[in-house]
Amino acid sequence: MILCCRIPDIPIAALVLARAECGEQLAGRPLVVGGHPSERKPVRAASMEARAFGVCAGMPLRQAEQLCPEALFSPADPAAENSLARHLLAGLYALAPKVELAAGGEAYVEVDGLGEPVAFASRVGAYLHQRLRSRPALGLGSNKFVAHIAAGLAAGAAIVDGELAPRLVPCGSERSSLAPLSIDECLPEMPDFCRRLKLFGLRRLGDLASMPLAAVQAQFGAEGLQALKLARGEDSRRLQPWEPPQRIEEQSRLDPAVDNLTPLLFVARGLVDRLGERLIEGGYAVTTVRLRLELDDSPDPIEAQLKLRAPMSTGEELWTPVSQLLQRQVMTAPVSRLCLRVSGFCPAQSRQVDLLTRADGRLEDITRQLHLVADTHGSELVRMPALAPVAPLVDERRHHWTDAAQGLAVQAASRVRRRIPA
Amino acid sequence: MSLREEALRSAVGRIQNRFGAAALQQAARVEPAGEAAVEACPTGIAQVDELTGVGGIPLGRLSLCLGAAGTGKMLIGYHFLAQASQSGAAVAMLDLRGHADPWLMAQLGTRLDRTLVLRPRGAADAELKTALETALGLVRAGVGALLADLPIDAGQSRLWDPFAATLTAACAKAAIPLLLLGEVAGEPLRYAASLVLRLQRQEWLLRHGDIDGVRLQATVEKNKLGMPGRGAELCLAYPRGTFISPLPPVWAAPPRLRVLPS
Repeated sequence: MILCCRIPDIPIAALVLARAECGEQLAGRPLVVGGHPSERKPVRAASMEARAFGVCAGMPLRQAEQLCPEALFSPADPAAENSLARHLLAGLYALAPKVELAAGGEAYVEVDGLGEPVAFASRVGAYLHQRLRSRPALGLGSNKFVAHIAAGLAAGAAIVDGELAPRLVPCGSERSSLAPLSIDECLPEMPDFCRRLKLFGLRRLGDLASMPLAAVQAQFGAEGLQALKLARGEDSRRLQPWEPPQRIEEQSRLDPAVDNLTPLLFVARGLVDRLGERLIEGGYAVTTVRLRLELDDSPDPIEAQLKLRAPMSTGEELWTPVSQLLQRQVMTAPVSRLCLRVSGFCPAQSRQVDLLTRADGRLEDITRQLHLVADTHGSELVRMPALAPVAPLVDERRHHWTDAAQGLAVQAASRVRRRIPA
Repeated sequence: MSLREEALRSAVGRIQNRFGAAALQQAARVEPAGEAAVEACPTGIAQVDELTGVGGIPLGRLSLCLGAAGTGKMLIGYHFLAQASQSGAAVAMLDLRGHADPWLMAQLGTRLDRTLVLRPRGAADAELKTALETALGLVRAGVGALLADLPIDAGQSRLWDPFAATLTAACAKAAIPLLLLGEVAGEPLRYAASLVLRLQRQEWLLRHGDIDGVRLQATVEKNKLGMPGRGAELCLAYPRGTFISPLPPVWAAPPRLRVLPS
């Protein structure tokens, strides 16, 4: 069973929340995000009220103003939108393990195994209402299309006790539930197909569902076949679950606070070893290390981040960049807490070593070592020579030096490519 | 059994009783060479390979090639790199003098796409230590061979006291050859080396009054794997740096022709 939550578009929701913090209520007003109408930019998002006037994403702002002059136009704020989307997904993920934030202001949640569907939907609705300060329309169905239609039906229902009741389409009754609905409204992404159906006198989903499958396929092709299946309540699209970004964190509280680098390095070494053990357990390698130092009597912690040149999977490998990162920090007060976090996960071993090729696995090891050397001493310590394509007369110009790690990495990648067809 | 043979057996028995059975053995009972054979990476120069007694630069050991400037040490090193780079993932050269010539290396057959050159900014102890630590890391990561070109100061540096043993142990574990080139070598290096090859210039080879090559004398000063003290004569023809037979073809007698039976 899938739950569809109709929420405002993320840019619109971010705008409403930002204005609500300033005490301005925008709920119920037509809103257009993208910029001022005088700018030559497209519409990024439009609220339901603005869409009723024909405004849609992608059209020029000037045209949107002509269609809906009373709309409030506002520039986009990508940082606020990303933050809101991340928080929404994290909140929904805390309620259900499989959630998807789709375009057009819809969130899908798989509710199987999470208790009674309608009660669970009410919990999700309460969370979204609290987070977005607007009532979401909730629909429950056996697949995404049915849930989407159910949410659309719920949006037009009456408000009971200050809430929109979730609309449930029971399993097995999808076809009968969808039959009286207009094709135009249910399949807005197929306008040409809907127009052709209207010429055939087919206006409701029930009319389309009763048509023979072979005849629809012969007349309308793959698009018709897909529409017919949707009209019968069959949707094979799977939920594309969102996964929270993985991170592994180790921290240590220092009591009393430390004002010397040597004990700090000692503690950091222990944290790095623990991180390494957890990475080995999971078979991960990481590409980013984040350091956080909380200072005694100071509200602002020191934060630093290091992007590693190559993924690292053990504590031994991580220790060099972490120790360098720590030694680079300027501490103005004793440190009361040390926190290390790694992110950017990837598999620890990216290639199956060919056992029949001599020294096949060494190329990656040497490349990793070269990345480490480049991090520590700079990339000019170890170089790889290359000859000039045309040998000049001057001896010094017959060759040039190239990045050794990059050269070996290219060779390793070419080995992988060579092996794929085999 | 003659009286002489009996006396010999008695003497051997007494030596074995006093110093152990392994102190003196008959040559026929010595283990065949194949079981204790040391693998080596050939240099591609027949005379040098023969001198070492194991067919080249031994794997897992520290080898030294010493000689004054202009005696062909670098060319021996380049030939060694050329042979080593044909197999394995990569080879490394520690170029402390900054004189590495990739063009000549390529001419001698070195695969440049498998050659890593470590070039520290200077030759002071700090840079030498950084370079040696980097070389150690590369050896542990799995390079197929390591060649180091040392200036005079670096060969006698105190840093070799810990690093010679560490580097040799890492090479032994990875079973890769390690060849150091220099004019002089300090005690730590000489002690850790299994093979010390000394090159000396004998005379210039002239053609029409111009220097066309050099005649060298190669001597094995120390060899833990073969007989030390052996020597050979090498001729180095310019400008390509190819080693040729002791007498260059221009000076050698013409081959004798004979009629093959039908």
